[in-house]
Amino acid sequence: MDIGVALVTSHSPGRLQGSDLVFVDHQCMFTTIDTTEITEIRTAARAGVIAIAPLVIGFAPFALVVGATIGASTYHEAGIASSWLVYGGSAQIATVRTLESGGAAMAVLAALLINTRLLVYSASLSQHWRDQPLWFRLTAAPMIVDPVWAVAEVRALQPGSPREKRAHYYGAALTLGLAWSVLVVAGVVLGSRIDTHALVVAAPLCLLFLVGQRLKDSRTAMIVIAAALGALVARGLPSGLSIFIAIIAGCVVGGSLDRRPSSEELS
Amino acid sequence: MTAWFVVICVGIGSLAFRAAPLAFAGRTASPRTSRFIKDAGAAAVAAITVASFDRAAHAGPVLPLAAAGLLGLALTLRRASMLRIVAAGTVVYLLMSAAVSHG
Repeated sequence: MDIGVALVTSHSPGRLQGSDLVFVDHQCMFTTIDTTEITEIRTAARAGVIAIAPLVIGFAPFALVVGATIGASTYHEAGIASSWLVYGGSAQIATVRTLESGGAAMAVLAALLINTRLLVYSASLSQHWRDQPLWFRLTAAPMIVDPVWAVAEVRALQPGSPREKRAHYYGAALTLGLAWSVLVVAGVVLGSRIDTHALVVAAPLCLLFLVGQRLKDSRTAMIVIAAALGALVARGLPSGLSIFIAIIAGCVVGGSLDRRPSSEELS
Repeated sequence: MTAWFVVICVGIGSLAFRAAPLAFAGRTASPRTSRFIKDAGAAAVAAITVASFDRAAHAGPVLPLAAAGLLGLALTLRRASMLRIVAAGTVVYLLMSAAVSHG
């Protein structure tokens, strides 16, 4: 459908006022978007950028480490492309390192096991985005990663229209995606000049903050502890497998807590 | 060529993980399923955190990392901002790393 856009001036007849944008399709149907709605979208997108900004700064050292790891490998182009195709630091590092040590099949398996958590993040957001259109859900999907999920889930629980929530998500997700890509390339270019030893602690601390955001009740705390213990016990296994086992451990504890009678029921 | 093949395979798989639940988001999940998904989210972020600390432990000294982690955890529980957590943890890590290497 061809859509024309016209800027209507104050001389326009009828209910159109000021600088309302008018979208005109081939059947001459008119749809107006009020300037207040455009302001609303801009404000929401800006809020998304502001919400993700501390996480971008926090994860910046990790992106440089990922870039430096790719730079030190023999897979520069494919490694850089993984920033958009794989888009997840742990999986990107696992892909490059396992390719060099364990072969192609193991690299695919390790990276996919690490990224199984994305299935969980996506399922979590799908609970909040039932009223969002399919086009949004499908364009939002490729940008889901730990910090974006954390920001989107917090925003989803706050009041606001679906349009505002979409703008907020795009503001946050595109900011992180752009920054991540630039920083990974910077890491590849700078390579060994980056002191990765000094930066290596930044990513775990950022993730620790994301864990802290979820510790709102004792039940969630138990699930987090169980998952952390599960990941610790299974850490000798390939990294993706340990994450998978930890998620299962957390869910099993959550399920068993639900089955346990509460103190009110006992009394 | 192998590297491109691997990256594309992982990319397609990752996209499937990201898109599949959202493609069917219109369906209403039972309360039990909703709770399971919520639990899995908290467990996933805890798991990737531990994996990230484990990876860092292979790249540098463990004692400074443990100290930075404990400080980070304490600040997290006190609802400190992310920048404060990262800054304080990194400073402790670098100072202790220097002390360990000189000691």
